[in-house]
Amino acid sequence: MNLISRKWSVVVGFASLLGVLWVCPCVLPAQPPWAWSSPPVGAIPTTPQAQRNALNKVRSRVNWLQNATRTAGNFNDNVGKIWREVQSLRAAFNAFTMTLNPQQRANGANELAELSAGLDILEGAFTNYNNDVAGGRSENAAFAELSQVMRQGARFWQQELDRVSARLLVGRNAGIP
Amino acid sequence: MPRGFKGISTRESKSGIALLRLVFVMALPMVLLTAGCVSNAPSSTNLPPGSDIAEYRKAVADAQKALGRALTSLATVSAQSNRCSPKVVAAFSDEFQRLEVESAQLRERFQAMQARGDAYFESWHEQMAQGQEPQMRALIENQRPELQERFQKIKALSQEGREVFGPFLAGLRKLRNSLEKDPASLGTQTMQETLASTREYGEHVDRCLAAIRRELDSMTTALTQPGHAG
Repeated sequence: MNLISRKWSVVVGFASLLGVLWVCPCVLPAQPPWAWSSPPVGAIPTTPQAQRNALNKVRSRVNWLQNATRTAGNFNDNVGKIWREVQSLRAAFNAFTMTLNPQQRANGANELAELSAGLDILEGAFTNYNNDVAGGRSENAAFAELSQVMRQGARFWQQELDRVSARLLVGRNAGIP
Repeated sequence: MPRGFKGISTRESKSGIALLRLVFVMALPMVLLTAGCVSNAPSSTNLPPGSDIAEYRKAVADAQKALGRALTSLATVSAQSNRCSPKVVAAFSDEFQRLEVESAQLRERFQAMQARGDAYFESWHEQMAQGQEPQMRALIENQRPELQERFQKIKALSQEGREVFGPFLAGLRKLRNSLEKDPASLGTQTMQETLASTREYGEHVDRCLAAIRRELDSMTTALTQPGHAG
């Protein structure tokens, strides 16, 4: 019995050590912020969890947009569908920037402005589409170009978003010093 | 096994377990203590000096490559006698779309730089110094007047580049649409004029990008070999 309990104590000891070693590389706040209290009315939480949620929503909107560029051709209102996805992406991005703390916002001001400009450029593709069609280009050809530019543009935009989020430590502790 | 050996073996295993326990007892609180610590600035975010300059330079270089291909394609179209083959039109259309996408990152920067103005430089400068060794931070601060001067040039070149990029893309679009509709339209005077003006716009953009690259290179030199910046 004594031998068994010794063996168990060694096994439990090993397991706990492995568990702790597994947790070690993670960034764990010494004093985690109290994120469960309800924020004041009108305030947008800037907790790591809120940032992660908002960032995931933006990524999800990029996926929706990319899917729309593949499937919208099957619908009547194909251009409108993609347009609405771009607007949803912009709304999600704006909501995401609101979850950044003042330090992150100040530190990433240039990159956030660039990402916002990137959305303007994506929107510009609709003006090009309208001008092309008005100029006599076939709707199919113009739509194919719009879809492709939108798909590739959204991919690059997301890469940029991921790079900026990583630099600003979005969703991790309190952001960069 | 002789009894003596068995006795030694049992004693050794007992002392081994005791040692393990001791290690756990001592290591566990230490590991738990250090696991709770947080580093606000992981080493991965300690960007090398001028890394944003390097990123900008890469965006410029990528756009320049795409621009070069589009200009070559434009030259191929120009070289056609009155009628453009479908293959040439398709290749031209592909290069145009590629330029549209691959220049987006640079156009984003142009736009953000103009929108934020001097605040763009302040953030840029601050970001460069962040996470650096004191010596490098001091160098970045000492080089501030030169960096700022070069930034003003880059900003002006970006504005100039942005102003000609639009008409250049519009010209390429107009040519592509006309050639798709009627490949024989190449011989018309309007098309020839559009070809010429579009090429001029493209070359102008290229000159702006080359000048931006030179300024960025000088910024890098100022930070890596202070006193040797041109």
